[in-house]
Amino acid sequence: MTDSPPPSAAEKSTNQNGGNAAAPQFVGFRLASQNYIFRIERIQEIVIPTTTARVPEVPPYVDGVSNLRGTIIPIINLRALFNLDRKTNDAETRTIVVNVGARTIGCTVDAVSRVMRVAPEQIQPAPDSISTTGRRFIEGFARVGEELFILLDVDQLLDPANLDEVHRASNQFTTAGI
Amino acid sequence: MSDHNFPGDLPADEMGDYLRLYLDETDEQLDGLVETFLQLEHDPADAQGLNEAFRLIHSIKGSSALLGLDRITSLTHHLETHFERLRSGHRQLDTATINVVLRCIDFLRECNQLLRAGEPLHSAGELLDQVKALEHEADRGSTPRQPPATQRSATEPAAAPAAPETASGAETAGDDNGPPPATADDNRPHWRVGVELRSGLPMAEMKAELIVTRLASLGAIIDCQPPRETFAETSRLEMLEVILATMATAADIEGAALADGVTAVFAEPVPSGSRAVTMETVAAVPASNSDDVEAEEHAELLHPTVQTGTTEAAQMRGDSTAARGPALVETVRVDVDRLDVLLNLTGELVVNRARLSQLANDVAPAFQKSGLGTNITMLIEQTRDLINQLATGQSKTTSLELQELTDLVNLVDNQLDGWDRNRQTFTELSAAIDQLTRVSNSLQRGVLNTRMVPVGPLFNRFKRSIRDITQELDKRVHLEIAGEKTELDKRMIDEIGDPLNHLIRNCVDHGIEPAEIRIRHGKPEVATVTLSASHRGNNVFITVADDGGGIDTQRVKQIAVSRGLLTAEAAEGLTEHDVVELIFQPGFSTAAKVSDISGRGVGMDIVRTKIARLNGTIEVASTPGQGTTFTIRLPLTLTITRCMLFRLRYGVLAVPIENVREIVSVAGHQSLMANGREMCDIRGEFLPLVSIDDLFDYSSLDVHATALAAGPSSQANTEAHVVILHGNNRSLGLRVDALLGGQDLVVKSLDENFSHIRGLGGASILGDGSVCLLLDAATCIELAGGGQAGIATEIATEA
Repeated sequence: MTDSPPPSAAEKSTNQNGGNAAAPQFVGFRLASQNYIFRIERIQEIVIPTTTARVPEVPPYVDGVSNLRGTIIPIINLRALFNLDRKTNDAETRTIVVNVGARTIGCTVDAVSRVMRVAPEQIQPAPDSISTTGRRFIEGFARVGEELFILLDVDQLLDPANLDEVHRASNQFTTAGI
Repeated sequence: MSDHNFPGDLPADEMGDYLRLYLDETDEQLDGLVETFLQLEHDPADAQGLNEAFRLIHSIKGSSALLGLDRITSLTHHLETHFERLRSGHRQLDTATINVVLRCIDFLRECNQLLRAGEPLHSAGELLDQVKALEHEADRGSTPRQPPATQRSATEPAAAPAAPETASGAETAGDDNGPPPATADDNRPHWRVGVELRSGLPMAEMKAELIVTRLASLGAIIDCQPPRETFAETSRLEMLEVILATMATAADIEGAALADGVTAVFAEPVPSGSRAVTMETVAAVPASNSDDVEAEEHAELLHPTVQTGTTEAAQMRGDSTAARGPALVETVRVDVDRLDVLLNLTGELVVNRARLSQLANDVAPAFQKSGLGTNITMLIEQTRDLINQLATGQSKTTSLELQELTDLVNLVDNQLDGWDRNRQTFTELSAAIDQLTRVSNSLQRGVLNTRMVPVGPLFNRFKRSIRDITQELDKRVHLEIAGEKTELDKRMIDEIGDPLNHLIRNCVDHGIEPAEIRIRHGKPEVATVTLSASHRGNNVFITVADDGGGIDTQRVKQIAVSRGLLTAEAAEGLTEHDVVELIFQPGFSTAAKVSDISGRGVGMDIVRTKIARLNGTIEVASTPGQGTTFTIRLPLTLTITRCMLFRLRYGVLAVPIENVREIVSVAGHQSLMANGREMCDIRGEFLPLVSIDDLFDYSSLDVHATALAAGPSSQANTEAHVVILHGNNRSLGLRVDALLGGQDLVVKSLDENFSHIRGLGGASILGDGSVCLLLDAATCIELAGGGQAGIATEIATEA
């Protein structure tokens, strides 16, 4: 079930970054036209979405709950969370499983692009155009080659207590830096 | 845990292990103490009870000293001193003493809680003073009725074999207000304690000194080789031999002697012909029992730390029933969390097994002899016939092709043979799955059984509650306990204590009338509260019943109206039963004055909520003048529930089978509208009829819209399946699209990774790996609004 990116992708990105093997690793993913990265150590695994049972009385960005090898985890639709139009799952859709505190949570993204190494100096703090709220969830911006990635703070972003706030401030995540 | 001053010669993690062991042990010992004191209250001179109390106090003192919990040690030490006197007949046990002791027990329980939470202990100052005051009184008290030695020999035979005991030694009593009788020392059994120290151990003399001091705390040092004073001079201190006079068990002694740098410890009893009194008591013991003690000691020698708790527990049980079986059941203490993990894994195994069975069933038709195989065989035969027919009238040109065709048919035939072999393999696979089913079912039962503990200890705890409340309220109540051997999941036992406590307090406070009224009504002055447990089917029933005045329905109505819970008109329309149900409403309390015990008005609804969280129900029945009975139904285990599954347009949902009253088909003409609500007529009873959308808001999402449109609409069905949900004495009809039958589900919490959703009891994973949500029937009925109580009034007003 685990869909790990091919090693060649990781190698390629390493080369792009000047072969800095010591730089921290990130997982890149895509939502609509924007690229994002999560710190790799915040991620438990990446899976191909399975059936999701719908749950009543939940915010619209919660797709429902899924079975992850016997554990029931909520599935948060990142597109919906960021107020983007929903999109039916296709061959590229992935669920990124993360641990937030003691909870295990899945979030669906359009596609997981690759694992990459980004040196700390390649990451810039969020520009002033980002609101204070946005800054709580955006750790910074990373420029890798020609591409710009938004580095999201998994713990803050997917903390169930923060989700509503993230949802309200969603424009900060989709239009930021573009 | 770092707040405590543990002896420095034990590593911190090892200390944590000891602490856990200590906490588990003392919890049991405190329970035992309360039990003993409640018995002693009836018969203060009961020698066996006094011995038991003494033994338990001593044991707590010993283990707390080992952990360096000075506050506990000093309190128990003084208690012990006092009990030595009571035991030896210096003084009679009176209510004042029992009260102080019970307060001490409360303090010790609190200490255990603090230790568990890793918080520092409170000072026992005031209690200590009270205990000391008891001792002073004792000093001024009357002279002993009998010489101590004679009294001891009279009391000893009963308790000594099961529980070797310790008297507080003169050495440790240095800070005491009065020294204990000196003669006691000589009567204690002598133990030869050998301690081997690692050779070349740094500061060996200090360690040896420490060990001897610890041993001294258990009793009196009769002899020590090499002599204590010469430790410093002894060049190679590798072996200590101490003769100790003590009532402690081998495990206690070894525990005290075990320290860093000690390579081996042994403790063996020293038979001594000179100590006639001791010998007499041993001789009085039946042979089988002394064998037991010996067997235990051997076990303790092997596993000093692990075995202590079990033998202690066994002794407690043995003592309390005063009749010990010849064989000891060996037990292991296991962290409940580990059992939880095991249970979850077993649950997953069961689910996976179910999935395997389902897959095998799905594949089965392909391997049925009558199906595919027969068809292909027939086709091959037909083709062969055709070839034969063609061959008879063949021309030379077609013979080659015909040969080719024959070869092809033979190939298919070979394939078919292969398929037949596969079919046999499949039959074997099915058999293997059946076997797996049996094994996994047994495993599941086995794991569940390990979690089952009798309700007895929990029930016995309420003897104490009853004592406290009755003293406070000046009512005389007898607590009767039945079915204490009934077993329940450990987690359940932990959770059900509070609600039960509340119910019992409620019974005494509200249920039982003042004595003068009881006498006037010709009832016995001493009221009876019955706490019983029984096991029926997949449920355990716990009842709390009193023989009090029953629930005054008029008063309940009056209060409910005055509290604004319902209107006076609505109250008039209620049946007696509905009125009684009102006591579970939030904010309801019938106590005329708010007492310390109950009457805060948060009670009964919290009780019901707590029980609902355990997938249980609580119902109340009351007969005016005769009493009230609360019946709690609990599933045997928390996690595996027999459920009814049904399909709704949002997916598959399940509800515990206990909450399904029946399943009916309601045709259009059987449902009617009342006050804008749809009702269904179930054999003359009108129940609200709802669809899932009336209960829950499934946020409408674009992505699901198409699926919804394609799915069957329940509203359009003229003949709808209706599941009658039942909970908290109310019923509700829920329309469903299809019924899928019953299934055992491993219920998992939604809260763990997500959040609690009102109306849902959890989720479960089905055989195909998909998730199904579990309805919480009682809450769903609440969500539907009204329920029977409300409906009844509506019907009444309509009519």
